[in-house]
Amino acid sequence: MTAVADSLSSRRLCCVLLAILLFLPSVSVALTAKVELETILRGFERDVPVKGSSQVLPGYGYLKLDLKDITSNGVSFHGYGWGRYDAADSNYYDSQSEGELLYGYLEYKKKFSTLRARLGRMHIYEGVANEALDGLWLAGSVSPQISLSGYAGQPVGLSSTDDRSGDSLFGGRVAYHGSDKFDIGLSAKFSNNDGNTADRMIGTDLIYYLPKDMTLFGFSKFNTDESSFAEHSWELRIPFEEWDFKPYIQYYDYDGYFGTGDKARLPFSNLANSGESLGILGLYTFWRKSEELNLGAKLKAYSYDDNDSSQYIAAVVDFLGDERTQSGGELGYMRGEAANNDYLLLRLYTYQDQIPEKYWVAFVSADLVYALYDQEINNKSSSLFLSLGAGKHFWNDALDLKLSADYSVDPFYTSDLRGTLSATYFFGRRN
Amino acid sequence: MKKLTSGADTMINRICLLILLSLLLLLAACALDKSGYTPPEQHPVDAELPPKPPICIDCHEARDENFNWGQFDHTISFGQDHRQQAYRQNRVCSMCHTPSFCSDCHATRIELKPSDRDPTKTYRRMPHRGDYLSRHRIDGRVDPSSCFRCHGNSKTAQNCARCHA
Repeated sequence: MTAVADSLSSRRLCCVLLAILLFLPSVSVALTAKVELETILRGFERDVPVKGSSQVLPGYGYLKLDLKDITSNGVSFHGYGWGRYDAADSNYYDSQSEGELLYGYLEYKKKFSTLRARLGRMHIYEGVANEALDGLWLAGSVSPQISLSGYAGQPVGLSSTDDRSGDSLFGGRVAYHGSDKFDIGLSAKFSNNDGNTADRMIGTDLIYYLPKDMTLFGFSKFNTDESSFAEHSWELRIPFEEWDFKPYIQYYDYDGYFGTGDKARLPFSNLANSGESLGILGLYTFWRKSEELNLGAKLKAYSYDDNDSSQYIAAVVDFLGDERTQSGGELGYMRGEAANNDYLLLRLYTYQDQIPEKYWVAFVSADLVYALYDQEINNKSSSLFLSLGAGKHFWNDALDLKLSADYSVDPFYTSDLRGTLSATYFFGRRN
Repeated sequence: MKKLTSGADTMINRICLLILLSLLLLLAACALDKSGYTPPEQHPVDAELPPKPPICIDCHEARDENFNWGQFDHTISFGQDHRQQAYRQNRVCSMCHTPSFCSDCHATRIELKPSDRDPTKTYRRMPHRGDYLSRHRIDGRVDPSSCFRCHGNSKTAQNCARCHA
């Protein structure tokens, strides 16, 4: 399906939701609205087909809308979407203008009850589901121990292939809350694309409370279409005074994980029949030395059925000040048995918002990312990225202005300078 | 991995469908129930949260009869490692974050990668910061599952399709 047809379906959904809003009984006088409008202007240069080097000047608009207490019985509306227009008509993008409704749904929360319902476009993060849905979602508890949720409709992620007829997505999760001992969940997700099987997953998730505040949690996912496990992901959290240790293990069977039928797209569809599997053993360690200083380490070991193994090791640090003031960095090293998997990564950043009022800006930010590759990519062995930014709040924080400049020298761009100006207006804050 | 027979496969699909239908019927019963714990819609205002990454166990027990608060501590790695918490108990997330906070990174189609959308928020450990175009060749080889989690359908894979299709 083309982008035009895709945007038509978004418009239809908006019309249906607006019509429901208009005809809702007993519209509440206590309605509270929260509206946020963000405008982003960017500028950079790219080589584009036919034209050669061209200026690209995209302008983005993001609109967030939350209407609470639309009716006296707990109905609200939530919407979020974006649009983009390239003022330079540079041919860098597939089309000069583009946009997407990320979500837009009516929500009902029954008072003094766990029952919740959503109708419209929404994102489902639940059990084995991480999907955008045009449809209905319901959740609630049948007892203090058992909670349920279910959803049905059309998958948004598959709307760009052919048309939407024959597309469907449904699933749900049931969870048992075993007091202070454990929580266990069973979930399923089924989707079809143009009438063909896209995704068939069932899974179980568990959180088990151990002595000394230790916790075991994770999930396993089974692809019923491929009849093989897709993923196991389990971790143990061990807090010890100011330390936190989190060893984890993950396993991916490529046939089961990437084998999502009619949903699979390049480059992942090539992996679906590779017979490969990946096992990851990892450890996150975190030391909260004080309220101002956090230190951490990351270790990851990757092993495969066929490919060569790799390891990643990194040290991270954070210095925390008042408000959002923060500085920190990460130094990491990826080591692969195949040399073209080796790289060294350094990131340093700061964000300072405790700036005396005599200066015009409310905050400044800076960022540096440097990567050194063992084997050259496009005849270059390193990447350097620098970013500087500043911002100010106006009108009782109703308007935020931010300006940033990014510079990059890397294997793909010899010298890339980008500028971003953003203005965010929060309606209702000015008074 | 050993494959099941197609008959067993069909049986599994039917069982799953039955489970789902049962779920929907049971949900109707939820409307009558008033016994489950409902977390507040928003984190209480009088317990004002600091702008810096919150450590929940500074105020809450590591776990109580309703939640394991400890797993929501926003430690250094939380920004890159919170999917298990979101998949299981996203109602806790929504006490402090609106859905748009999640959608800024996790959505079906966001043309601007999160670190380009707001380059000044350097304190958020965005995974694709800087020249990720070069690094993704290595990260993608080492762990393609991490790419697939967000770019695993035709719409979210549009950015990949420019070169990989």
